[in-house]
Amino acid sequence: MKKKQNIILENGEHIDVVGPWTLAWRRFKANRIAMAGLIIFLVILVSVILVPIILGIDVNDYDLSSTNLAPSAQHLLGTDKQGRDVFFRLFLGGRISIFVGVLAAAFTVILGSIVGGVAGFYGGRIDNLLMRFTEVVYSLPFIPMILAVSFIMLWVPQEQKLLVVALIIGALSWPGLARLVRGQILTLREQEFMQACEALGFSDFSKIFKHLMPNVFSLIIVNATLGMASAILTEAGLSFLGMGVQAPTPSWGNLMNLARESQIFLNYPWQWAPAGIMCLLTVVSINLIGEGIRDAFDPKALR
Amino acid sequence: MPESKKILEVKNLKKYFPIKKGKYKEGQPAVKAVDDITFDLYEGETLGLVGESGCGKSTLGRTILRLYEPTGGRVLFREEDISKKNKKEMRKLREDMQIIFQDPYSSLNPRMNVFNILAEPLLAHGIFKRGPELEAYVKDLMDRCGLPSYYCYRYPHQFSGGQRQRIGIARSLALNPSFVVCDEPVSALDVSIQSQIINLMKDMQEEKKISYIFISHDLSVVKHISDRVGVMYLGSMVELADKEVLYQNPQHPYTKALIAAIPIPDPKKRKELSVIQGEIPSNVNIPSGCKFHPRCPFAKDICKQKEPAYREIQKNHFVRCHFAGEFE
Amino acid sequence: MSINKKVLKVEDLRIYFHTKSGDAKAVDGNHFTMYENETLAIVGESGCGKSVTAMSILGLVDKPGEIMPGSKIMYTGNVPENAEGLNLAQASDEQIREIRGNEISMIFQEPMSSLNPVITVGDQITENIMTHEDVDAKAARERAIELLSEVGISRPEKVVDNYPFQLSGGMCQRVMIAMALSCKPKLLIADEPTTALDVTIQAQILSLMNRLKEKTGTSIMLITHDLGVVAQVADHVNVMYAGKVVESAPVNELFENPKHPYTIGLMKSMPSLADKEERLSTIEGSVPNSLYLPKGCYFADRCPFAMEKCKAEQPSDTKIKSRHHVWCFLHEEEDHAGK
Repeated sequence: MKKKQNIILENGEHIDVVGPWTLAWRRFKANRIAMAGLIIFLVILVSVILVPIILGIDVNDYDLSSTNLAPSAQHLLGTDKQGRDVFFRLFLGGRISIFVGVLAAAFTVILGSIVGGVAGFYGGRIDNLLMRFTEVVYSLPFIPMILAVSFIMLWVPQEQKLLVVALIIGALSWPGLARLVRGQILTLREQEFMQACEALGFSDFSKIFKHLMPNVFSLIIVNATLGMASAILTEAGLSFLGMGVQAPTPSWGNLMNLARESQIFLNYPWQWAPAGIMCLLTVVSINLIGEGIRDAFDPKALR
Repeated sequence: MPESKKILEVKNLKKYFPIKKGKYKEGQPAVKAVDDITFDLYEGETLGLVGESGCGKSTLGRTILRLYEPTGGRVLFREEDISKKNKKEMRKLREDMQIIFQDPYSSLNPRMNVFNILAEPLLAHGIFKRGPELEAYVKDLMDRCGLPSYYCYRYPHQFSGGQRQRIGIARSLALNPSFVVCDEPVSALDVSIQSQIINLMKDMQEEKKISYIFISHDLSVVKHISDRVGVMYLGSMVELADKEVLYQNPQHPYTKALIAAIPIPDPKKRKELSVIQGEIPSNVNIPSGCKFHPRCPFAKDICKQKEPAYREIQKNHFVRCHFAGEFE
Repeated sequence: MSINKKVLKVEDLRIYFHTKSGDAKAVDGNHFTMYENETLAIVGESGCGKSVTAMSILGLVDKPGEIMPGSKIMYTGNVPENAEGLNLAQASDEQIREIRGNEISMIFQEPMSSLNPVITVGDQITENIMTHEDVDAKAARERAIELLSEVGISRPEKVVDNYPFQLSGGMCQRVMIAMALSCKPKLLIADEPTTALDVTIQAQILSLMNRLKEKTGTSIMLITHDLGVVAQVADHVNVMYAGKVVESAPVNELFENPKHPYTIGLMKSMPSLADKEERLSTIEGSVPNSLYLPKGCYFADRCPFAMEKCKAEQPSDTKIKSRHHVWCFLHEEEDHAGK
């Protein structure tokens, strides 16, 4: 069943047997900007995973005898005021920031697609109830809510703090996706192929998982990617304000937080600037990937 | 029509869509898409349904298949009332009654290849298990519907409109149904492709003795493919007869107007095409009495006041008009 | 017929769409002449280039489409007899804008979506009048009402203040026609004007168009796929296939004496009210992809009479009789005899 053939017609016309996924991937590959985004993101991802391991330093390692050193061969980006290696903390912080981003996006996608999917598929009273609930969550002011909740959550132990941050971001971001998914499913339900499913006597299970889901999937992927970028930014913002991931655990946000001390801001830019640059690069590259996926899946181009 | 067995009996079927959200309740303002329609369908026969947009012909087709729940009336399929079936029984019954859709673009799932599209109904109804037998059956089916079997791993977007319609037909026929509703199956196609599809549908009918309800707005196509033809106007059947009778000797003024409005492809027979003036009223504010009276050139007082009965003026010739049989 | 004044002469029109996979030849050698008081029907199936041809006359071909150099669209409606006229294929945007809506106007297939939904019907017509003519708003409104009643709308003084969504499809198409005629164009392009309408409404619109042509002498280009419509309203017919004209003839001549196998196939494959045939005759296969056109005649693959020659070279213009031309090798001999 797996074999795929390419067909050449008598008149020399080539017809590739390509599915929508392959086609989307090809279109994505042809999109240079999106590919650049993908490459940058992969480099960042691999380095935040590998660099801390290669350096073999522990989070709690500090050396009070060598504080606020300038970049050198031994400390590529110098040290901070507690004598910790900034280069190491930059990549470890990246690992944590991206982890929080992925986790938050995952929460968003799971909550958003379940609520939107159920509302769209069953309609009627269930739809009404779920969408009103969605609107309530949607109308909560994002920043004050996050600040308030993370302030309440201050008692949570340091190691679990980042889970809490991800959860909060996810819990406040899903309504947008839920609305999108519901809208998409409502449109799909009106398509004749869904009526054909009914006429052919397919089960609800098959209708949802074989016919509806694959058609909403691209929408969800695009949103997950873009949601991840915004979650990374939100985490950075929270940590910058001291409400997110707490020291000694580094994240790009609390590394940038160092810039609040004018002493450090003026004299030791290597302590905070790289975190800002890395954060920017990551978010931009993820956004490029997201836009690329959106274009690649454009149904108008599918025909 | 030779007296073969009835496969389908539609009795006083009604489908109202409430204007307000929710379920229709008696007496509410509603769009009366299908309003008290009665007819029979015989085995191996094609019944054509014609009418202009909004006359309820598509809704009728879908209500018969219970894709829409009827508001009233009954549909007997092989003498069993299908509106009384539960979900499971209904699913079983769907093997035997199918539909072909108008739009070859939206009726196929863009994320499935042809093989899966055609195999799915067979797997869902447990007729085949995955394996070489299924593959052979699907390829044979494609072959008979004029699709080269090496196309089977291609996706819908790689086909032209005509080929997509062939896939749709193959899917509907995969389960060997004995009754198929064809909802404007050729309206979206070009003339030269249209004739290929019509021939395919006729071949399939002969091969498998299928009964068709063929819905179209194109009177020439309906005349070609049907044995009997029904004309609908604003949710009602206004005339139903054998096709020769209906086209040669139409009794309802609306049928006359429809036939006269067809542009004939012969410049020697130019004529003043527009016989009736005015437009179809919306089916929310249906005119009193005979629904057609505001546009009818022969309307009398009685037409405004009293709704005409649906009566058999000759054997197998039904008309809903006060003056049927009295026209020249 | 030929005593009428020439309005438009199209010669060797080629429109290519430059795509990643190569040039798609949407129109590949189209030629026709339009006269005053004459309806030219352009018939063909979807993708044969009939709509693109119409678009090119109004300068509406956008990237990646290009009107290839050497194409001539000579508009002679506003110059004296036998004068050169303006080549619309090379005219500046400014020149085309002057002509568009004024000298040449167009009506589309979807009347509902061609009208702006948030502006009243009257305002849309008066705007068009005031853009091209120096009249005040009151006079323009009166003209609009007059036009609406001319296209058979009863109670025009009420309809003029209606929004498009308050009107039915047939009414909207009448409004579109009124708008198209508001500046007394010399040429009216109608792109499938009745395809979206019901058959009884189609009949009303077609007879309206016939009546207006007789009254105003406008030259009408009717784009359609329906040979029935052609037979009822056209004076002259061009049949297009895969971007090329394959046959061109006066309407009576074409239906009596069709020459090109495609024309014949098209006529036979239509189910008619009169026929008693059990099977429809068909044209096997489908239209070639405009990216991969064959070397020879584009119809050769589907043609029941195809010869070796047909696959090797493209047929040239063969004159059957006055104003009846066919592009097919089968009839080459007749041309010689004719000369």
